Amino acid sequence: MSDISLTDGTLTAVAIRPDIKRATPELWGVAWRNITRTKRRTWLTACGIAFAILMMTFVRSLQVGAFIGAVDNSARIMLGHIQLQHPVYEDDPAIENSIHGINDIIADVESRPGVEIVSARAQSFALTSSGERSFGAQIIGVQYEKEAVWSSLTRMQVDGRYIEGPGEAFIGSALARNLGITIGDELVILGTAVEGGVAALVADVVGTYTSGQPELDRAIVQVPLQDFQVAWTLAPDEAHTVIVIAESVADSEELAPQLGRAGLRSLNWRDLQPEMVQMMEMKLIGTYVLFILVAIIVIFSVVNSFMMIIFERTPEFGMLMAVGMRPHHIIIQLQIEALLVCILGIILGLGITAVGVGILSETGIALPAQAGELLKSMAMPERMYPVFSFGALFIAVPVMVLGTQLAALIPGLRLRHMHAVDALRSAE
Amino acid sequence: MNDVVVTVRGATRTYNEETIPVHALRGVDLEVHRGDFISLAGPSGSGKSTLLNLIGGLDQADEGDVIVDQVSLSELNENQLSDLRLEKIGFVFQAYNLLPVLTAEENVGFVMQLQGMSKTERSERARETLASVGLEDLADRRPGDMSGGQQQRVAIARAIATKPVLLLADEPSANLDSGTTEELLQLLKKLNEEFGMTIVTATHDPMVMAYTSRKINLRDGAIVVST
Repeated sequence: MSDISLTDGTLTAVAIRPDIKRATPELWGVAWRNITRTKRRTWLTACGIAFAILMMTFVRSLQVGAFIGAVDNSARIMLGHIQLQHPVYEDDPAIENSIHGINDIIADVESRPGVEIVSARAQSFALTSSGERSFGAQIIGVQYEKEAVWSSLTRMQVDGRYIEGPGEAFIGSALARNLGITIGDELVILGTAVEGGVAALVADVVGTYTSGQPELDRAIVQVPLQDFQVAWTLAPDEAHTVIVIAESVADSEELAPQLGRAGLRSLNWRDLQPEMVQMMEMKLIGTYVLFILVAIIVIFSVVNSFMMIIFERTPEFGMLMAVGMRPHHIIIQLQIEALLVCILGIILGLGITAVGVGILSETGIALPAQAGELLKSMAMPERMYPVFSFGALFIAVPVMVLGTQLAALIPGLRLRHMHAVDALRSAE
Repeated sequence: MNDVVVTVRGATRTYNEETIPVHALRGVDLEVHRGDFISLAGPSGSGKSTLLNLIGGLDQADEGDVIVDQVSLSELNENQLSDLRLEKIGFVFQAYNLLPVLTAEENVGFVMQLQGMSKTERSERARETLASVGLEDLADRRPGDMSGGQQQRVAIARAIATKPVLLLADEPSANLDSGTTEELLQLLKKLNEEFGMTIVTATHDPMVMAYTSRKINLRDGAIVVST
C-alpha cells in the first residue's frame, strides 16, 4: 500500500507498492474474454497454429510410419531385426568366428515375449561355378523351414521354388544369368573351410529370385544349413548368426539389449542397416527444415494479429495505464491472450492429427499405382500406415508456445514506451 | 489534516511538434482544496487538458511542480506515478473507456482488482457504488448493452469506487446529449456535496461550468480568470 512520507517540511515520495501481484491470476479471465472479442481473428490465428501443429505432427507421423515400415520390411528380407553373433564377427567375418550351441540360444530367445521367430545362419564367401563360368558369391546356410516363414526373399522367386530339402540351392537371378544356369542345373561351390580346408558343395538350383536389390541378386546363394555345416566343417550346433524376428520394430528395440551376453554380441537394426539410419537422419533434417519454415510463417501471422490487437486497443491500454496498471502488466495480459490462442490452436491441431492418424493407421494410405508395383516387387506393403509421433509433439508444442509468446511480445514491447495520454488521444 | 489536495506551482509544458514548440502551459499556479468542484474551461489548445493530465500524473511538467495529496509528482518515476494514480486518483474520460468484455460490476471492480482487493470485497463495493450512481439493476450488463449516459455513470462508479482523494474528468459530457449531461452533472454534484469528493473537470460545455463551484478559464496556456 501507499508509503509516502513528509520529511522536514520537504515533500518526498518513496515507493508505493500496492499489491498488484494479487491481480495477476485474474488477468486470465480478462484475457480469455479478450480473445473472444474478435472471434474471427482468434480462430484464424488458432487455425494457423493448428495448421503448424498438424504439419509437424502429421508429417512426422507419416514419416515415422514409413520408416517403421521400411525398417520392418528391410529386416524381413534378409537381415532380421536383431542378429546375435560372435563378438568380433561384425568386424572380422572369418569362418572361425562362429557361435556354438545355437539350438540352446534359439530356444532361449524364442521363449522371450515379443519374439516372433528365430533362425540360425552360417555364411562364407566362395566361388560358384557352372560349366565354364565362375563367379564369387556369399553362400548362406539357412534353416530353410524357418526362413520360408519369415524371409520375404523366399517369396521373391522369379523361377522355380524355395529350398525344401538338402542338396538344393536358391540363388539370385542375376547370378544365375551370369553363370548361365537355370532351374535343375547343378551349382558347384568351392570355398575355404575351417582351418584352411577346402569346402566343396554341389547343389541343384531349385529357384531364382529378384529382390530389387542388385547386390543381393548377383551375389547371394542360399543352401540348407546342414549342407553348409558339412561342407565348411562346422559342428551341427555351430553357425555365424542367429537371426531374431521380433513381433514389431518397437519390440526389437527393447529386446536387442537383453539378448547380448558373454561371447554373444547383439546387433539391432540400427547396427545392421546403417544406410537406413543415415537416410532417416537426412530425411529428419529435411523435416525439421520444413517445421522451421511452417513455424516461421505461422509466427509471422501471430505477430501481425498482435500488431492489429495493439493498434485497435491502444486507447484501452491508455485507460489501463491511466488508472494505474503498469505497462508490464498489460504486456503480461497480452502474453496470456497469446498463450490462450496458442492452446486453442494446439488442441485443434492435435485433435485433427489424432483423428487423422487414428483413421489412417487403420486404413493406411494407398501409394500411387506405379510406386505400389515397385514396392510389391520388393515385398513391401502397398499402403503406408502412419504412427503417431510423440517426439514431434514434444517439439511442435513447445516451438509453437514459445513462438507465439515471442510473436506477441515483439509488438507488445511497444507498450513499454507508450504514454497513457498519447494512447488515450489515439481514439480521437 | 491538510485542506489542499493539489498544488500546481509555476507549471510549464511545451510540446515540440515538428520542430515548432507549442507552449501548452506557461507557468500555471493553482491550488485545489478538499471538496472543490472545479471546471477548467477554455477553447481548444488553451491547456486545460494538459493541466488536467499534469494533475493526474499522466504527464509531467517541464518546469514547476505538481503536488497531489502531499506528494511531489516530479520526484516520482513511472511506476510510482502509476501507483499514485491507482491509489489516489479517479479518472473519467470523454469516451468512457470501459472494458467491453467486462460487465458493469466487473468494470467498476477492475481498479480494485489492480489494488489487490479480494473478489468478494470488490464485488460488494462495486455493487454499492453502482447503486450510488443509480445503476444497481445494470450490474451484469456489458458496456455494449448500455446507453452512453449509463456507460459514463459506470465510468464514474469505477473512478470513485476506490475512494480516491481526487476525481479528474476530461470532457465528461462531450459525447452526451443535454438531458443525459444534466443527469451526469447532478450525479457529480451529489458526489461533491454529499460525499465531499474533490472534482476537477476539463470542459468547454457551459452547462458543466454552471454546476461547478470554481471556474478556471485558461487561454494560451495560462489561467486568465479564476472564480
